[in-house]
Amino acid sequence: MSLSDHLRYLRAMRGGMDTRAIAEAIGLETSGPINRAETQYRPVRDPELVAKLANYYGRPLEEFQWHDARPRKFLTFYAARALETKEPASLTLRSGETLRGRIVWWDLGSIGLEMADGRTIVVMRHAVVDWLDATNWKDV
Amino acid sequence: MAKNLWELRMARHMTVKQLAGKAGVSASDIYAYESGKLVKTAHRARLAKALYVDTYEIKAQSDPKPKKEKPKPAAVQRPSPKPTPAPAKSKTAPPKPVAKKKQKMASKPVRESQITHLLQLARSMGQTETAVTETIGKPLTELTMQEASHWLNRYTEDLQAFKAKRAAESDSERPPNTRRKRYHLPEGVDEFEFNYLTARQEAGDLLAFKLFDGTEMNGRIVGFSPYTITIAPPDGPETTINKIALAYYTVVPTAATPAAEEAV
Repeated sequence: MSLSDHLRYLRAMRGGMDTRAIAEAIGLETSGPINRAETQYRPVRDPELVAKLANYYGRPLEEFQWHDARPRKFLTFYAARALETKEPASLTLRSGETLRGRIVWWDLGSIGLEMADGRTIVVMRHAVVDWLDATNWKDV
Repeated sequence: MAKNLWELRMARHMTVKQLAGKAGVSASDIYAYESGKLVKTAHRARLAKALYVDTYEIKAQSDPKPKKEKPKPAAVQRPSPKPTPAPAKSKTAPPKPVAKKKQKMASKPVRESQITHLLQLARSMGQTETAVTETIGKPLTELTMQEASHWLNRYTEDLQAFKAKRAAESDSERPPNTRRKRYHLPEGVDEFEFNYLTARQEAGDLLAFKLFDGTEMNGRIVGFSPYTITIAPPDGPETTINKIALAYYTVVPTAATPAAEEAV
């Protein structure tokens, strides 16, 4: 799961408060950087902001860095490559469950994973926290 | 302010079939509603979700969609025995006979904007004003409005062909295997999930949904939108699931599928 998705998840778990309130609490003039961090598909690449947000949410910085190393683009690359090579894919969900199968399609919000029994499971992208070789993508 | 169903649908560039798929309302019902039938309350809510509007924004009873009027041939002007009344709220004037319009254009001098547009098109193809004048056979200022219109159409077609040719040439000039792969671009669409859900809805398959918090739900798809899926559980009321709350979902294997046999 990307840091963007993780930030949105944490904010939702806190009742979905306004990003302007967070910006004020961590000493930013505007909520722009937070809004961008929550929506971008690439790594956040602002260590200071990441540290401030980790501190604000009371989470270890390492946790935020771990998520930032798994942006949505990387999952896209992984899905696209797995679809092309037809190699089995392995997706780990936030619940800890790992789903293994062959990716048959993917799009904006979900991934179609064909299981060994021939059924297709539609996995929501925001539920995927980790995948095989997750950080080994340099072509962003 | 409430709008007609067909207005809202057309504003979102959706066909009746697409709206039917998203809302879980049959296409025949939608046709009937757009023709003025009173929309059922349950259907109105579903249609509102699929169209991303609030329920009150859809008129309970739409005004019939005005039909496109076809221009009548100018020569044949038969008086109709019963003059058909104009639609109640239509403010559009009846189309003028085409021949009259053409006659008017033929006699009027060319507009300055037509010349500018013509020259712009020519410049896009690398042609000068002199070349255009030579092609046309007389100075641009001496054209009539009708002639200018004809040349504008022709130059537009030429430009399209010119662009297509240039694109083909630039592709053929590229060394093999150097075309940039941009396979990550389809993430701007959600058509695969849409197709999957449409197929499952049409087949009436029973689906199992696993939510983010571990809750499991079963049901048949009633309707869906980009953000929600409405299901009808086998024993219970319809439920709308926000996709953001979902982890994954799949078809529940029936007794005939190998998966079910293995599970037994």
